[in-house]
Amino acid sequence: MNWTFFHKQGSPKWFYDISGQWLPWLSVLTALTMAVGLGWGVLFAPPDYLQGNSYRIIFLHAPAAFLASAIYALMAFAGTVSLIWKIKLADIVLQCSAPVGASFCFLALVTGAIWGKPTWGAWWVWDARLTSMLILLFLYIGVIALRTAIPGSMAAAKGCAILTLVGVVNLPVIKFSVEWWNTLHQGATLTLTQKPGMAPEMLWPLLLSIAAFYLLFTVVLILRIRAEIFSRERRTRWVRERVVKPWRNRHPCEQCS
Amino acid sequence: MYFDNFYSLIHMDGHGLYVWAAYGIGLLVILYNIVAPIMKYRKVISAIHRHHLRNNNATNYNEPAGNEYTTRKNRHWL
Repeated sequence: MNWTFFHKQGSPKWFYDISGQWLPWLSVLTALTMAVGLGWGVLFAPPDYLQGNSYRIIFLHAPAAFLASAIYALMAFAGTVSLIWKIKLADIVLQCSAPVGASFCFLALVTGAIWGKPTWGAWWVWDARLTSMLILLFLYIGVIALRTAIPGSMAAAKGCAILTLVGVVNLPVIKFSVEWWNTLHQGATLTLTQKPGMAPEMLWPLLLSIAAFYLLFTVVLILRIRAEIFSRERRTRWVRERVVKPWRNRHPCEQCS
Repeated sequence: MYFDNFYSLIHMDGHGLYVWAAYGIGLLVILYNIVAPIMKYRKVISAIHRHHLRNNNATNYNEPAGNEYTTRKNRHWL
């Protein structure tokens, strides 16, 4: 295996340069997918025969909940890579994913509560799915707090990676909670193995919304990683070349010459 | 469109408050996610500028970097 290639992908400088080229395209694609997915779901999809129009929250709730779990899984993968190979970019990915994951976990919980009121008659119940999602939010907050407590050190990277890996046990609990326990939360809407029970005019906007949220996460993660790379590597020559040089060309003043 | 008029879109047969509250919070979360990293990026850039002005001309940045990873054109998209 070509290890130089492997390490080049993990180099912050390589990532910074290549991601700058991806960002405009990804941003446009995200905006388009989100406008079509959510617009279709809210304005054009038919109402549910049982829940009426309140089910339209699904186009926000389900993608946010999927993303909250998926981001945690990504953090666990990044944590593993960071612990084993000590690749800087892996730790940056872990750090930058945590606040995004926390925000989507919060969104899933809040939209779930709002949907629960007209559907179940309660904002919150201590149901297995809801409780395990709340634990996921606490895990995200724990990782963010640990990073803030020990800033910019190898110990922080190691601590966050270990905490993330310990929390992975919660992911299968979230996934299978609706099967293992008799929950108020409904079963999985989408599964890989079974034919979806949803009508296509509801399923398509849902799939588009999920794709849009994953794209949004990619864009946000790239933006965060670029800022974090600059912050961590600000004393290196390559960062100053990218910041000072273009700026100097725009402001040819006495101080900069 | 499924809804006949603007009122039925807002009202959503009595579920309007729930649906639009959820989408309002969703919009806020999405905006936070986009704005926060852009603010941080700008803050870091201006910190590097200030540092450079303090240590003016400590290095000659006009020299070619001479590194195998700098072949791509520098892009500052933000």
